[in-house]
Amino acid sequence: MSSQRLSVHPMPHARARALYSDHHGWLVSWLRGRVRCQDRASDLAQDLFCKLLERPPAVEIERPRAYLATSAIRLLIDQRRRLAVEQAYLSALAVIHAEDAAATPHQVFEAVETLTAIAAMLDGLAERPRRAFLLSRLDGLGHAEIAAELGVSASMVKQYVAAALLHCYAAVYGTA
Amino acid sequence: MKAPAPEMVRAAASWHALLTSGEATEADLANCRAWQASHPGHAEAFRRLEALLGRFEGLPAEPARRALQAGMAAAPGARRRLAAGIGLAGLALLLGIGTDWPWLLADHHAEIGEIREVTLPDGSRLTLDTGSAVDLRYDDATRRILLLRGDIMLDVAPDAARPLVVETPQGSLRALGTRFTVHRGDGDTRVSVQESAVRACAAADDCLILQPGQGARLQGQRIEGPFAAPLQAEAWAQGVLVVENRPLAEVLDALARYRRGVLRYDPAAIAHLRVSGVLPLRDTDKALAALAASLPVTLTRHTRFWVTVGPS
Repeated sequence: MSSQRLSVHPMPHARARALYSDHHGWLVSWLRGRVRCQDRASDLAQDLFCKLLERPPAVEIERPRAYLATSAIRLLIDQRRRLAVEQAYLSALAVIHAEDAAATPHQVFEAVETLTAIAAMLDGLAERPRRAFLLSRLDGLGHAEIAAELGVSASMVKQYVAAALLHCYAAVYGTA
Repeated sequence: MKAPAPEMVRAAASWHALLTSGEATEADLANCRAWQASHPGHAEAFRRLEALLGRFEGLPAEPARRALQAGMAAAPGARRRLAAGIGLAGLALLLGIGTDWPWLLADHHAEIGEIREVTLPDGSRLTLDTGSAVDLRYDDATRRILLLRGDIMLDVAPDAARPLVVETPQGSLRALGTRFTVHRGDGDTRVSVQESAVRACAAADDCLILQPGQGARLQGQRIEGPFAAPLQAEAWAQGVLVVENRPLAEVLDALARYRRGVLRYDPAAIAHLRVSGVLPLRDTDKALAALAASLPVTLTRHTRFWVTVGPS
């Protein structure tokens, strides 16, 4: 089966493999200049090439090193974001649920996954629409309550929420 | 399914905003259903936004809000800048300004749990505490060290022609001799002097000369001090936490800074317990085991990153 699949779509995997064999050494040393740790640089490069094999680039890469470096920065950003989300979430949970084991590690893992994706989605949204949107989504407040909290009119809150939704849509599906 | 036209997405966003406002009527709901039924693009746009909203279901409000704040602060504007194709160096620079981005960009940093010593280009020795980061700005006239976060200790190599200055948002600390430590906290900076002296300035005309054993605090353009430097201000650089008759909770909070994941405890259940001793910071599992051995508490490990301390 796998040989059949390769014969149907031979090019993308071949591209990913060629990227690996031609540029793996360069990528590790480029990353080492940024993360200052040999093991971490190697791990990142490995993660990146695994992702490339899972989802190979659909077109020929004209500037492979620029492509790899951009992908690596994207991966670093994702990891950085996930770590920040995880630490903040765990410590906030620890404060709230100090007296009982309210969430299982698996539930926490799922929530961190979701929150990391949401943080990426909200990236770049202005502060007031973001606050209005989170008060609506996380706290379940109505627009009148959010309006009182933010000191604006309820119709402004509706505009904020709609703007936040469009922002999220554009982040997930491309420009609306 | 073909992607809905932009005006359909805008209309769908407006419908969702109305329906979640807490003020929608039965008539609004009926009108929205009719709108969706009038065009497949309408229905698809509405469904896509509904799926986005669904991601927020079931999240505990306050922890989720904090986590999102932290996640957004970790890489602000990253997506837009990547999409805009700004050069990598430019992206790194933009990300680095005013953000928590130690391991990608800082000249020197220590990971969580690490206490790291480095030799600087002038021969000075810099020790970074857990999660700390600095940038170096050395030129012919000065040796500036920007403390981005955390705690550092400096053993300064003498160079009369090039003063060494540590800078934080609250002020500057100029080495007049050899050894001192600086802590950058949330909105304040603390300095402690171990050897020789330091000139600490919160603003141009608000300075103190600190002698060995003295410390000061810089906050909001003001400097407070001098006061006796706490022992722990330098003990961390030896890899130890020194405590004398402190509440267990305070000691656990201090250890938690050296650990990834969660160190959980019930403040009420351990409120009566106090600790004196010297605990290893480079191996906090060992420190926790030592606490459990000498106090009536037990450790429960759910995973490597999740430890609960409770009364036994």
